[in-house]
Amino acid sequence: MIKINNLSFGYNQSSNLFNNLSLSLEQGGICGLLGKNGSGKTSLLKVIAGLIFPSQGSCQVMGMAPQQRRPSFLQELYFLPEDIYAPPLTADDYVKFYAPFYPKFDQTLLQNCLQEFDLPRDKPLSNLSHGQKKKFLIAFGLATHCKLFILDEPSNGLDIPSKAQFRKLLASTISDERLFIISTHQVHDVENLIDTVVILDEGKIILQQKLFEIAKRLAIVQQQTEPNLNTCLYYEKHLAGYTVVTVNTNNQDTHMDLEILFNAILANKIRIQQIFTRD
Amino acid sequence: MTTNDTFDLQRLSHLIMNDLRIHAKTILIASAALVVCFALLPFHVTGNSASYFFILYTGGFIISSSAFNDLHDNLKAHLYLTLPCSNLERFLNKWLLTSIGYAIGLLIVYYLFSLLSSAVNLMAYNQRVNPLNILQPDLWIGIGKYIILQSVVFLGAIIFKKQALLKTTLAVGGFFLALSVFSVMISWMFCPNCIQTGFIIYSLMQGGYFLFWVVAAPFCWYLTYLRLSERELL
Repeated sequence: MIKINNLSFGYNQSSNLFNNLSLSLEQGGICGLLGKNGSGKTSLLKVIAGLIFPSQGSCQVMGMAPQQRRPSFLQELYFLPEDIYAPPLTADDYVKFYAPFYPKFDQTLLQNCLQEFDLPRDKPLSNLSHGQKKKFLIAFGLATHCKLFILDEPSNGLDIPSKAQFRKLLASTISDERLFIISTHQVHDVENLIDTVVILDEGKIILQQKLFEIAKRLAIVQQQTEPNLNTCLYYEKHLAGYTVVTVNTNNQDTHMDLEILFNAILANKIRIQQIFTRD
Repeated sequence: MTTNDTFDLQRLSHLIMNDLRIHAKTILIASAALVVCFALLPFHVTGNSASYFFILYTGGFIISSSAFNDLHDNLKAHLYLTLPCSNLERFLNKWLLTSIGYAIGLLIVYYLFSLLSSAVNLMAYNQRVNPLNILQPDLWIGIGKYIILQSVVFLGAIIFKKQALLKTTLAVGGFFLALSVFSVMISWMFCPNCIQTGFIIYSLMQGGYFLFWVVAAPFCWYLTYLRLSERELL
């Protein structure tokens, strides 16, 4: 679905944010795009959505060049940015004016989502809270039935019940034809949904793996004694002991805490990359 | 069903309706202001096209200079640029609303007011005042000139983020100043002591003037379309 080859992009001519970045994502499932602040997550999402153009290399999404912004491409894309704008229209008016642009728009699904999120339909969207606006736009995006749904920090601004509702709705709309890309810092909000992890660091993809592949090769365990960094890949101290990331040598089935995993990969980049590139 | 990626009339009409609905408040306030202005005009003035042209040009340039405000605001531009429609439809939507749409809409309102004015005049003072003659050629030539001049402001609106009208006026002024200096220099270089110097300058300026009316609009529309297609959310 997404094929990026040797992409280069920079906000100024003196330094590039991406140099020869390559990435390939297939349709179906939820991909978590993780990275530190300034690592280029939002920029990469904008390249995929055709909002910024590569200076070199190519980006093909659904067989099309995003920067051409063709209607047939945009009908299959919904991009929810971190900072959102909702026009001064009621939810009903918004649907009336924007839904006709999406040929597969599903009114029933929208009704269900709005009910789930408990959103008012008669108030102007511009008068709603940031979280409510975001919930409305998530509901609208899900109802478009687009093939590619990009969410940049979707859980920012959502209250605790809304985060659970968001996960529930997202899980209910997963299909083999649809790809969700979620960029987030709050990995706990989406870690049970994600099936592919892409980690971006300093403009480079340092890891792209299915979560089950990661779980096959790495184990995250709890232990009381301080681990030895020669035998483990990474550890974090907490009140009850240590959370340790090790090579999964005896096929342990452990819970993949994405936050720990992310920190481990950043702290031990080369060693962990070697674990995934061997055989 | 295949999607036409270049132009679809239905998508264009949806875009126009969206724009009108979102800016409904501004349009209503501006219309109310116009109605008050028309009501205050002396009866004989509404039959005259001069006041129509004054409102057409001033109002039209102000509206045109803010046509791409949504595109200069990154939050709004996100929604605008990811909306499934072609760049040609985005261009035509803004152009139709700020050029022909505005000129004709204003003409209709103005004409209705001139009819009302002559009716009131006839009933209250028993004096016959002719309403605006919408079939007079000068009126339509004036509207045509507005559409040509508006294309320059339209281009300025997509280039300049803030104070687009002011900056466009300065840029156009600068261009004509440069053209005058260039004409003087050319005539002085080729014929420094000729008595025809004034004629050469005049001819060059006339040529530039003619080119402006013929070439300016298509050139500005094309550049505006290119800028719109190449807009990135940096």
